[in-house]
Amino acid sequence: MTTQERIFKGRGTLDDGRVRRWRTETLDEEQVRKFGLDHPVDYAADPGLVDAMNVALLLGRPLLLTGRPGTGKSQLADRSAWEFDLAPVLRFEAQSVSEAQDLFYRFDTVGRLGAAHGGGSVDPRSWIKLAALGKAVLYSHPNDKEKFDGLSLSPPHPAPASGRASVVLIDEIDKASRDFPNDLLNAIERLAFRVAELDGREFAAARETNLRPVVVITSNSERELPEPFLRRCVYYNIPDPSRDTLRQIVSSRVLKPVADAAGSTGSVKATEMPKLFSELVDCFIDYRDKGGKRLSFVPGTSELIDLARVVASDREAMPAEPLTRDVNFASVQRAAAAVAKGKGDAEEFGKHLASLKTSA
Amino acid sequence: MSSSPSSLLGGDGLLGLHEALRADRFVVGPGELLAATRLLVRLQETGQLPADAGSLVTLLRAVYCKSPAEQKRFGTTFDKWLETRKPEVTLPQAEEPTADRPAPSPT
Repeated sequence: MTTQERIFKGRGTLDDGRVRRWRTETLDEEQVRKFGLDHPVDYAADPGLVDAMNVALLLGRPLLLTGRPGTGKSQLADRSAWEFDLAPVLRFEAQSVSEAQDLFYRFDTVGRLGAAHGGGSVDPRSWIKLAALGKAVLYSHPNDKEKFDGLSLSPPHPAPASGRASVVLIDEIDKASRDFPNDLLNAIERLAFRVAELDGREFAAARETNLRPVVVITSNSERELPEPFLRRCVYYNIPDPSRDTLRQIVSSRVLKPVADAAGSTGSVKATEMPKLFSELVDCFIDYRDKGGKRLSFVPGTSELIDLARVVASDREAMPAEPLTRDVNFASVQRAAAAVAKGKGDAEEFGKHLASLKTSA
Repeated sequence: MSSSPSSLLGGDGLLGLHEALRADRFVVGPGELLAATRLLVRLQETGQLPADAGSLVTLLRAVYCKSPAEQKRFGTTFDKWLETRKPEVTLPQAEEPTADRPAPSPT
């Protein structure tokens, strides 16, 4: 399969009978249930996101995703890697001090100095720590001894036996310095880097387009990104999930694992969601939307999942009963910190809960 | 004019959409026009070009938009532009046969 022929599906099973690698392990569905993991098979991309991903694949450009926390920006990379059997995702978390070179490698100067004093190896190749794009370059032709001989990877990595593409996730690019985004695109386009500590030796990715990485970049829109960077990306803003979608998310990511752990064989459908959780989703949406500018921290889907998880793990809660029932009300109050994180937000959430009780 | 996606690969191509977007305050330059045209070519090469031009909206949106606000507005501008490409003269449709006016004999 070539990069040009990759078509992203974005939801559901793949029905080809293959058990794909996910994260660093190959897990079948039974193992995933057993460990209660957020497996990519449960991910459901909206049609606009599927189209944007396919445009990025067709044009060979990075996909830039914005949207509130918890809307599934980072999970899209996991889903893509799983679908294309390119897992695990190679991740880079941008920081304010990140530079373009950090995408490829870091040199452990302090470690090497320590080794020199302790009589350890001072071979510079042993102190190069490849980062996401550096690994993607290496994975595109891992058996090329001439190019990579002696370049050790620390920590040990599951390098593929033959050259292949990778999915690279560059998370929260808006946290990095202003120059970083444009430098990043230059780095992605060149897919080559020089290592000053090895006398400027250059490492370059294989030229075949099907071996180039699929790059997903996320931003929480904490600050504006430079125009030239935006022009060279494919863009999609993941909208806030609808009420029905949020119910489905709570069902698949909270209630289904709980039911599986309890040995239930049936699936939990959003339409037959227990009353408590259905009302919890409504309560969350009202708090988020009506709170508006009064909230210091506007919670996203990940906060709703945390809230539902805390309530679901509360043995005193009664899922079939309404949220306003005393035991359920107390349970949600105890879990409030999962969504009310900013200054004054706990009080706001408390008022919102109280209004539900009054109107019940 | 035709509104079939393949017709956008010839003639003025996507130039009309480009101008419509600029008129609607989208910040777009030649880079976006080239990328959008390349996308159509790639869709055709890979057999994914949709039969209906209206289905291109979410694909072209990913090339042209750079913010949530633009993403929200794109569909309206796209639809207006697509409307201008529809044939101005509608060809007469074959009438359905009725009891007093039977269908013409094939011979």
